[in-house]
Amino acid sequence: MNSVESDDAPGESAGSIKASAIFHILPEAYFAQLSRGDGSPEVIKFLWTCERSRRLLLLRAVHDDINRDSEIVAQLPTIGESWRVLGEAQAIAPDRFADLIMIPQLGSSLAYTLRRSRGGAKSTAPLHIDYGLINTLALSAAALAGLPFTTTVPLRDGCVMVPYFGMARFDGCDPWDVAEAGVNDGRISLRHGDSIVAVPADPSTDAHGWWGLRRLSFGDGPTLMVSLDDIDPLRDLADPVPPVRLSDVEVDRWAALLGDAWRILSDTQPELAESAGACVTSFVPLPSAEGWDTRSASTGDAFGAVLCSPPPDAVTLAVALAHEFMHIKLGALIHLLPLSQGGDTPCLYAPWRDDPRPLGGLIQGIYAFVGIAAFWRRYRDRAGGVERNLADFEYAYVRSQAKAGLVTARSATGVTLSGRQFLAGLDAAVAKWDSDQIPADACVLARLVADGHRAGWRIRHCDPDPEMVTALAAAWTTKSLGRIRIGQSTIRQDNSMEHWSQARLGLARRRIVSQARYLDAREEAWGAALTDGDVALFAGDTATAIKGFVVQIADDRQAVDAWTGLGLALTSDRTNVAAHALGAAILDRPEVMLATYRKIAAESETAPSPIYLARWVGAVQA
Amino acid sequence: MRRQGEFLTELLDVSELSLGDLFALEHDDLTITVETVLKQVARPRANLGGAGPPGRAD
Repeated sequence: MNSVESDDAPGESAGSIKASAIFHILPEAYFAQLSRGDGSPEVIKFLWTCERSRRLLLLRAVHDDINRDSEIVAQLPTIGESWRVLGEAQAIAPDRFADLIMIPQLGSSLAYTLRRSRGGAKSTAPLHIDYGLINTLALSAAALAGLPFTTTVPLRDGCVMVPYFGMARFDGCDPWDVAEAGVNDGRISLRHGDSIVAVPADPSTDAHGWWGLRRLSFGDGPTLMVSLDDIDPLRDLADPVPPVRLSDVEVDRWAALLGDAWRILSDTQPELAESAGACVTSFVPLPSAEGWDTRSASTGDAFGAVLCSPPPDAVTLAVALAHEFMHIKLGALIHLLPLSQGGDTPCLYAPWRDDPRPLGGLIQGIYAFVGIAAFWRRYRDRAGGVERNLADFEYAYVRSQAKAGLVTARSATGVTLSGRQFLAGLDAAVAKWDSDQIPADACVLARLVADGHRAGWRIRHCDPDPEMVTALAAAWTTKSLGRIRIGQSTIRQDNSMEHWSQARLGLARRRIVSQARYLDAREEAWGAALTDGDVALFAGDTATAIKGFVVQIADDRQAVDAWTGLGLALTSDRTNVAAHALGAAILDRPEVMLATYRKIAAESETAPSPIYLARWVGAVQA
Repeated sequence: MRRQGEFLTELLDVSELSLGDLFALEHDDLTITVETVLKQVARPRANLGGAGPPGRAD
């Protein structure tokens, strides 16, 4: 920042500095790359520079907080010395200092501290436990710069994460405690009572009371160098979590998976791997969670960190890396330019989510799914046999999800000028894929899953106008053919984030992967909700599927998926134009069909035929 | 804000400042950009992807 004028030596407390503010300038060419879903290593380097500014601004905010709060200063009497050592370390070893403050989890730690002090996070920890991270940061900085230093560091359940190095652990501590810590000849040691932890010469190795932060490296061309972080309390998405130390066997398994996944990415998308390797610096294993096969995550506060639970194979992990890399890029871009304003209400359809999403979340998802589609698009060429068939399906499905999301986002209110330009760039990039040849079977299955998901979302989250439903039911009963306007439905939020869509997606994949085991799908835990109609539908037996869904609707008025299934089955009969139109009408507004059906059924002795009702609604619709 | 061939961002460039200069810096734009960053961290955005059984789509 060459416009800042100061006579003070680096690292020393300066007097008041007046500056001509300089904001980061984002070259349009960089924006264009990002809005295509790309981002060269040069763009990534630019994002790192911007994130360094953001990280320093977070440090400034923490510094100001501490200076404003005499209680924190009283509880952290050596904090002034920590700031001094940090400044000195920056002057002596600027590159190491820059690497230290750009540790992804430090971003989350600073953000958490600031958030909690403003009431945005709940914890019973005294505030000095959070703000004491400055002492631990200074400890790391001193060690990296070879400076002698002593301080006190906060302990959470007897543990303290020393950024860059690892975690010291003590027994017999209070939940919130402190330890003495120091650096001599570049070596860190910590003491609590009579217990001493001496950090080994190679700090990534373990020692008594010490878990080293492991580091892994992959690839000869594009390289991926990451810390394997199973210890930092702020390695998760927002709030502190306890360490979950991986065994050596688990580390070996992760190393093998990451190595294979990186090879897949490097082979299929070398440009992406080059950029991802310049961006991703930390990998955080997540525990497996019930109801999820593989879950991955990232957060804007931890630029460069990817979180992922154990995947079944390297391809899944490669997809997760591509997915989260997109999120990380977009998170950094949004720190520079807001793409949306307002739009916080979760009321939009995101094809990859079972619940309504806010605009910001929708845009994030679109970007990620463009990245996933790009992966499958390239991976198809490498795969053969069943693997190729599955990749064709995944590509067709994910591409349709990204395109549908783009349509929704581009018509949503709250998109900024930059956001519109960004979405237009993505739209143009995805449109270039339209000429890709995808086998018809894959397209059919992808269409069934995608259309069924959209209809399933509507039937669960959209409430039609009750007066309109009453009018429709009354007109049905009196056989009136007067026109009735079917207005917009109200989107209902879903705080429970119910998962309901996996059965048909699983059935489509089973159809591709193993036709011999296709009929067993209903015996699987994920397939428990499947019906005879679903099994017939995805096997191409449209007539049986229609009959099955009609019977299901008659038997169970709560069977919402039978309505979407009926719509899918009717639209699957390409030879019957009328049936196709009828199915399309059901899929378009399934919530109207269901609400009207239930109203009529509740007020009369016999429920109407769903097909007749759908045809009739279409006839009276204004 | 967009200019010819570039976007002027909302993030103050302090990437090359020493900590001493950073902590002594006074400017209205600093206050504004710090407030912007504080708003961002006040509502952390988590990106969570996952695949239900038995697939590999996130």
